[in-house]
Amino acid sequence: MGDSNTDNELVQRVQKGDKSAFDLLVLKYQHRIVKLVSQYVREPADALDVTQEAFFKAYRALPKFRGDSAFYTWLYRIAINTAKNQLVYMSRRPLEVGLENDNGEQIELQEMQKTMETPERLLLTNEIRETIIDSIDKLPDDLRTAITLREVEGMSYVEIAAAMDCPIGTVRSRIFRAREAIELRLKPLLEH
Amino acid sequence: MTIVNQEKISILVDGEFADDEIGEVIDTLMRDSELQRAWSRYHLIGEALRADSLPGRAPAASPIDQGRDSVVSLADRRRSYTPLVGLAIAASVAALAVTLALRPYQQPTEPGFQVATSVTTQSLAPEPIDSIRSQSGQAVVAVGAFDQRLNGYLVNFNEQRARLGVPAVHPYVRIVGFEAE
Repeated sequence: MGDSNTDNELVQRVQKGDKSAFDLLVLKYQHRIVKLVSQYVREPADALDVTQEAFFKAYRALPKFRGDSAFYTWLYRIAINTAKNQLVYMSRRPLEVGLENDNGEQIELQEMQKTMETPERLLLTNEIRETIIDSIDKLPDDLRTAITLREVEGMSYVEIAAAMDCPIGTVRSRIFRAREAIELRLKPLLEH
Repeated sequence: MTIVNQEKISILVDGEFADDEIGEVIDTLMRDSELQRAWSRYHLIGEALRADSLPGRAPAASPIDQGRDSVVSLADRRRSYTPLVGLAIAASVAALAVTLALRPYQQPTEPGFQVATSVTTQSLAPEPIDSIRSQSGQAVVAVGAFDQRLNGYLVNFNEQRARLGVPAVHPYVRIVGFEAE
């Protein structure tokens, strides 16, 4: 049990040829990688390009990934290296992500761009952030506590159940209901 | 997309499925684009919360303080209480050593322990912890009285230990005091 087990399952599926499993990894980590890359590449559009390139590199290298480290650790290193390389590259000439690849790779990159959300959705804008925080503030105490203990404190369901003195099933339900309530307010921002 | 499946995605996001259950949930996830959007948004929510818990703005602190005082008290207590008690003990022992060194030796008139009537080192101890309050204004811990009592025990013990032939402060004194509280 654990978050890394989900990643391992997805990675194994990709390695067996299931490309759509990689989409789930992209959907999971795209926000985190954009945030990471943005620390190196300040221009939002460039950060998104670098993020796409990092995922593209990860996808190509995934067959060689042996799972010695967690998937995110491995992806993190790729993203950092891509960002640093991009800084050097950008100092020489304009960014042209993917244009130097052959046709097959270019198609794969385009497919990946379809998987990733659009730049305005991908970037954690202030509006999105404020909506999420405002939604959290308006949650009932039990839901707010459960989601906070999970997402901020990183506690497991067992730990949360002990902390809140309730069954694990209740913890599951509270966290889900919290997410559902937040998502309800988030949807209009992400779907326009 | 059903509510049941959505809840499963929520559990998957948290990595709380057993290994043999993950595959089935992923299969469900891969067949449903709406579930995939939920998968992405649930992760986005987590990212936003974690980003916002960084210094500068800490909304996460308020639900913890307001929603589970007892839990936070325990966690905060372990973090904030230990060093303060350590300081109090150190200050007490140091001041006691100075006091004992300066005053002439007096033979105890009665055997056995006596409860210390005053703790001379109290002014050297840190502020009582019961003055610490959470952002919501509620008391997080109330251990000032405990501090005083613990210091009293330690002072009393040190006053008596030379006569009783005990070499040093028993390490369990503080532990017993902490657990009893």
